[in-house]
Amino acid sequence: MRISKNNIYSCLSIHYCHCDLKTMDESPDSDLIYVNSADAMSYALEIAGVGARSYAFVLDWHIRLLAALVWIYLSAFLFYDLSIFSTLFEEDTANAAAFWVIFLPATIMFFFYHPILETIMHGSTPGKRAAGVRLITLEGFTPGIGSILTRNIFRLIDSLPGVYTVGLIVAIFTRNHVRIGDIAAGTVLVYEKNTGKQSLSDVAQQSLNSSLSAENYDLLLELLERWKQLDKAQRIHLGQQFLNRIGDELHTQDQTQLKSHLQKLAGV
Amino acid sequence: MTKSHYDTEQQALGAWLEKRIPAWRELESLFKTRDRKSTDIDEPRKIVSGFHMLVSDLSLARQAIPGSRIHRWLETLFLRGHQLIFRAPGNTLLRIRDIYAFESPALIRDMSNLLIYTIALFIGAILCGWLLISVFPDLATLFASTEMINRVQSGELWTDGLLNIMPSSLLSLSLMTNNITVSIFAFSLGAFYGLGTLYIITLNGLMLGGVFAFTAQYGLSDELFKFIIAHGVVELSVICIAGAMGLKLGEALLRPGTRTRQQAFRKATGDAGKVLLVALPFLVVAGLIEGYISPDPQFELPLRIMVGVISGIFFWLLLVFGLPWLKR
Repeated sequence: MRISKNNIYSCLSIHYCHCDLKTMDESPDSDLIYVNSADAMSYALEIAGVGARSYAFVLDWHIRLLAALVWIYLSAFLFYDLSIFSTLFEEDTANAAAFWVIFLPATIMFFFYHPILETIMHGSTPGKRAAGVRLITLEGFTPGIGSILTRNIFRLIDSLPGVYTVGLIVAIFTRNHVRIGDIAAGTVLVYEKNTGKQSLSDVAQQSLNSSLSAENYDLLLELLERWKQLDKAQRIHLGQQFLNRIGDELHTQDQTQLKSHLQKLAGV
Repeated sequence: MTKSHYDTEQQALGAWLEKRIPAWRELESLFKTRDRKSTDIDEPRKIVSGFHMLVSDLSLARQAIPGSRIHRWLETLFLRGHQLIFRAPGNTLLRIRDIYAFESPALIRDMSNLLIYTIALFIGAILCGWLLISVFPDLATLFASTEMINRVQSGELWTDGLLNIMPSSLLSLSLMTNNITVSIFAFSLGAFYGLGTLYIITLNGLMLGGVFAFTAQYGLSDELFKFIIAHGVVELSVICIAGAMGLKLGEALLRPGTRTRQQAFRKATGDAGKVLLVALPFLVVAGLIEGYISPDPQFELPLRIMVGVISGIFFWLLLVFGLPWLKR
């Protein structure tokens, strides 16, 4: 049966509506920031809270400290000798060169970690990525170098009088949970939406190959993705629960058989 | 919902997906492989028309399969397209050139009054510091450490033999870091309604004046001048400019005008960022002079004055007039 696009709308009982956000999967109480395109499409992104922000910062702090220390020792070991540290601070031309080689990159790594990586990684850093957050402008774009530099310059006062007290207090009380640097740069930290590792067309193709509804299909993929993290009892319990949900009559206590049946249903 | 209705919906969804998958795949690939330097108009045209179709599809997916992977993937694709199509075009090098050549000089000229007030405040603080220590010499402990005081009292500056303690490279780096930090503090503390900036500018002025008065009591102020002049012109100029930008930040919060406070704050920060982008690199130059020339007794006073004056003139010419030979 061939169905034209116009028929799809009637079959699915859908009116062509761009702006209905009630169907989105965020809870109505979430802090959201809206991106409006010129096509009258509105898109909501969930603003990251103080917890996610702090978690990302702590991770990044450890990474940059580790990177700087590794460079200091590695460069001293590779280019000179570890004994260079005992004479490095004495006035000598050779020591001056060694000083620049050892400490300048380490200083840059530590102090310019955020601006450099946020620029290269389009508003992200390894810590932010691990925390599942990303930096965007208030208009929903990836911030430019100017915005990134501005928000990082203001770290000086956000970190006052120590351990980011000013920044934390401001982030707690501002609507978008942003620190002074973000207010100055017009940026905000939002949660990345987890889309899995598969490409868009793969996901769509698999949906087509499966006889399940989109909702059940997604549930099944989630279950299969988390399969390794579950113990045997959980696998069987959740697997059977899913089969009952879709009205499948298979009943088994064999997890291998259950998994292969689920994979068959998913078409993977 | 009857089973037949459910089946029809599934069929419709299947047919829709089957029809749209190739288009999404093509759009995804276009987003990835687009050639930014290409002058071919077909590719952007395909991206834009593909994006419009994507908007329709996303709208449909929101209603039909909300929260599903396909829905989430379409949203991700939508954001990428939105970023690609609607973001203002930008060439970083051209932007920097424009900032150096036109924007920063225009801002400096616009805020010339504020800059003059900041310099006046700084000079006033220097005079106050001078008077304070001249009248109450015991208060020198406010501005100088015990070690500095002891060395001055024994007839030498704390900067004498500095290179025996620290190599020029290390000295330069630490001075650069310190000066850049002070300047950024002078600017960013303006976020506290300008009060933080007033504190930094006044404190630095008081310290400079006080230290000069203190060394003058032991006949060492000429030596201190000799040490400072080569790097001081640029260094103090940058601090004054950073201070003026900080006061502008405070003013934006106190008197935002027709904007909201956040908007005014953001605008003032953006303007300050442009000026500081031009001014701050000069602190690297000042740091190198302070590390390599200022503490080295080989360099005589005339040469130091020449370095200070030339670097100062170059700095102010660039700040006020930009690069006048360039055209927009």
